[in-house]
Amino acid sequence: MARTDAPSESFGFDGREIPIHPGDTIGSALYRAGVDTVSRSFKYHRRRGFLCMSGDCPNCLVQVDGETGVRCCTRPASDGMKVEPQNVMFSLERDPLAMNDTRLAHKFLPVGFYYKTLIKPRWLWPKVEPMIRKVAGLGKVDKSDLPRHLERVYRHPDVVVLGAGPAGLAAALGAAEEGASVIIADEGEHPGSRLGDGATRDALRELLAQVEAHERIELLREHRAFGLYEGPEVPLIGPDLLVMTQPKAIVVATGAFESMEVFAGNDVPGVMLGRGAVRLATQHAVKPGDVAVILAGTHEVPEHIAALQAVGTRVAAVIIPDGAASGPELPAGVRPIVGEIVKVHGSKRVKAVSVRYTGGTEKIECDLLCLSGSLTPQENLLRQGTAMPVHAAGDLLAPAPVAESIAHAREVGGRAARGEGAELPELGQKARRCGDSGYVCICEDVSVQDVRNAVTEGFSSTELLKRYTTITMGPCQGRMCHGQMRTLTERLSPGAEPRISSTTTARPPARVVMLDEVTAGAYAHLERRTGLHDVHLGLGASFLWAGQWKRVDNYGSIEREYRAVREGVGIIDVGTLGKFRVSGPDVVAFLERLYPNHVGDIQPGRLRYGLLLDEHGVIHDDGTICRIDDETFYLTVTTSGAEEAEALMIDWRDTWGMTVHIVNQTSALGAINIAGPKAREVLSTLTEDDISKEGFPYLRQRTITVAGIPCLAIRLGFVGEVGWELHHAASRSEELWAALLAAGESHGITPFGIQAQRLLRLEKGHIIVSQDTDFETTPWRIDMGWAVKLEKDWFVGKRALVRKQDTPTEKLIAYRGESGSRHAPWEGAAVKVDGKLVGRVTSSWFSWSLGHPIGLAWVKPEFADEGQRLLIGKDNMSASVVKGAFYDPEGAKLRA
Amino acid sequence: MPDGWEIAEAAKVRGFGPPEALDKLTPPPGVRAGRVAGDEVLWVGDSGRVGELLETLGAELSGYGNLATVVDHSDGYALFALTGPERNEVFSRLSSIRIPETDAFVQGNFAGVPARTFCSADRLEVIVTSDVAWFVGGRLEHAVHDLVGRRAS
Repeated sequence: MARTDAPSESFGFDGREIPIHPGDTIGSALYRAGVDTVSRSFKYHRRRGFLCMSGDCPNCLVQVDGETGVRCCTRPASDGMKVEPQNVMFSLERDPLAMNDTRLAHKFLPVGFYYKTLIKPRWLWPKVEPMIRKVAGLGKVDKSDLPRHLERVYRHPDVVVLGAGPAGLAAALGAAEEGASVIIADEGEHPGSRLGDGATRDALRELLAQVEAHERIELLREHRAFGLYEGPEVPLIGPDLLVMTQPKAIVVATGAFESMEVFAGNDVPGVMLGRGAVRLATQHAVKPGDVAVILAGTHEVPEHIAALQAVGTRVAAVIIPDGAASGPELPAGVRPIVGEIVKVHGSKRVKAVSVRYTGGTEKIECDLLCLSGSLTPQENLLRQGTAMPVHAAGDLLAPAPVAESIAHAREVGGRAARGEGAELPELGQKARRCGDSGYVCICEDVSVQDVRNAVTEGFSSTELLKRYTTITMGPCQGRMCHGQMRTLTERLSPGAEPRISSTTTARPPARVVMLDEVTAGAYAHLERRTGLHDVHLGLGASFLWAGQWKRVDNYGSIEREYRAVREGVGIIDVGTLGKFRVSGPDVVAFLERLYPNHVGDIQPGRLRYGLLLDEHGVIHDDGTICRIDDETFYLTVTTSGAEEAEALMIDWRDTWGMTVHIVNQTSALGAINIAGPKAREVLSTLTEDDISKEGFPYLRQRTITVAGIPCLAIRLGFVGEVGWELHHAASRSEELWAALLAAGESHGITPFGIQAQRLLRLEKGHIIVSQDTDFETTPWRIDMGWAVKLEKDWFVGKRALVRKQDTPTEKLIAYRGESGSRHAPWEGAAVKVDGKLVGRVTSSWFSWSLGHPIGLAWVKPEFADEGQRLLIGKDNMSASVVKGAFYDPEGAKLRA
Repeated sequence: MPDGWEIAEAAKVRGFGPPEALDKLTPPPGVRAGRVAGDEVLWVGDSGRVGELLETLGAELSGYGNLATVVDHSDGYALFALTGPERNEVFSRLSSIRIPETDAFVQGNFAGVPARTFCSADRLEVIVTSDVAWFVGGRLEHAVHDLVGRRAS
């Protein structure tokens, strides 16, 4: 039956312009235009035509305007689209890779190809792999196509219903009538659009009107659920929004589809599921074929015959499988045959069907074979919902006449709303039939013979078969083949335990999902900033990541910043440090257990460096321990370490049952370090407090007022010069920064960034936790035994440290490069002795003060002695191991 | 704009003490109180009330001596006030938390960062650490912009 209205729109496909009729999908337009083959299969490049017309099978995957993996049977057609076939080399009709589909070629593409082919000689695979990659896959990704920044929204309805067919709509109404809030989602723009005309469609229209009018039901069109997750949580992908639903109960009403049947030639174009052929006929007025043979089994067969005849298709025969309880009532002129299909003839298109029955075999001429043998529940989602409050309704539960199905679904919806138990079908049912030849998995071209071979090789259970053959792992995710695989497995391993042929685990995604859809609402990169971020921007800073923080890398010249600190005065924003106020009656006992060094003897107003260890004695973090008063301490840890340190401290506190208040003040307090030979001179202009050498010596701390701002001033020497960290209310950071710059202007005060600081501290031999340490670093390995007091009764990591005390391990050493070399090796560079690899560099810089490269490196213990000669990096820079700090080893400058 | 949000200046004071002490606390009128943990409460009031909150909370806990601590954390937290008829929709763009139907204090991620939220009949107050305030503000801006676009289409 042809439409008379001439289409004015079209799209391009394989060098042709395909006219579009109103309501066309790409698939219906192609079929109307006489296109039988739309793509090729994955492995053998067999022809792929239309099968389900409902988006469930893998046959009609095409590329549309650069988007790969589009099921063209359900994608609406639009003017100007560029539609391309997939898995095709050069030409859809004359694909040279179709030569893979010969007996000889099949021998070179055996089941388990990747596990046993091209293994030896070893050089072969790297040569062949790029070629395989070039021809394999599902379409060609357009790398210039940037991901969308989609948003997500969370919803908390009482009940989520998946599928807005008659059963889903009825279930939604049943739940809403119990007072529940309901979200019902359907993949189509128009629910039920895939239904043919008839009683079912009429019932749906009525239900849809009720649903749309119901105040407690929200209908989401064009939203597909791709998985059920714990919670439960059901993500629904819409056209441009991800709706994350967190319901109390779920009703899955995704229906059923006709089962794929297995026989020789079962994948030839022209073999179509019965409902698919009917959709073409009733929704798109397209004649699916001139002469049809129907494999019967479902109650819908009479409807299918009527629909086909209405568009002019002659039904030559209806095959009623052996063992079927009773055949359908057939209209006059349609010949029933009790038997089984053994073969489809034809390669480009069905030409005939061979049917075997009692007394012989008959070849019936036809160009369309409709499979209406049985229904397979659309259960991929349901199988993911084990141990969740999930209910099933409609054909998914049990195919039934529409009125019966609707009534039952209403009850199911009510039960879901009331939180009652669910009635579920047997999941992962075996197929009724599976022939001795043909393709079981049409996604991956896995034949009955392939499964037979795999079972012979020992991959006899469904879970092993799945992984070895990739059956059920293709784009249809087992919809077309799972039941057949179970039936075949059982047949090939007679007498085996039931688990051999058990249903396999279903996992998300149940439907195609794009990466930008999965990341909807989660595309932004969390970035922590100090209160001085905009000030740094104004100074022309470039930034780097330090954990989640953005810190200043430099302000334009690392050398200038470095020299300012060594020769004059510099300031650096250290507000990113983790900062804690820890207090309470048990605080001293708590910190004594937490740190490996002594804490109780720190006097108020003083501070001490401390390592934080884990139970293995491995360095977790480091920082300072300032004692404010008898029961109050102020602790710092490294940038990005605050959250972990807080969790660690709270965990230990609760484990030990101590009364200690741990207040994370990282975001509440800013911190600026002023350092350099002129630091005191500058700072003294801003404070009336005594900051003289005697009045405020090294490793002391107390609250002073700087430029009118109360600051906890901590006298430290990370960069090796006189300096104070000024910890203050974060809201006053800009004020303090500006005051320091103004006061130091005449002294050439210079803001410095992380890079200058890294060199400055390296010259002092100070480590950076996580740069110079790794997950095995104990204090012993970095010569920091001085920070561990084994005489203490107990501290976190003590037992491990005692055990590891005498274990020879790699050591962190300091090295100096040869004078004259201005090139510092890359961090991570190899360290060699006599041509053998003995370690790697962790920190590396050229020191402007010393005039040669310096660094830290892990080396084997026998190469850690002072004076050991090393070769470093690809240029084999000569270096020697040194002990102590490179700069001011006595610490006279920082104590000045 | 379908909904309003702003970073609101506010006093934020944290109190630590024995659970039984915190159970008995009664915040002054106009002050929102949230129980962050068994041993911690958060009081939020107008920005000029920092001193009052510190004093009141300190006085209420004074009987517990060194078992209790009160800290001004106004600089450490940023408060986003969401108002207007679509405040819940905007909130739901950025958090999986089910908004209670009655006044409540809830904790959980908002825009991917840990947050504390006071929910009331006409207002949602989302509190995050100030170092991520700019980030959360950006996410809110984007969410509102997206919502406006949808409403317009």
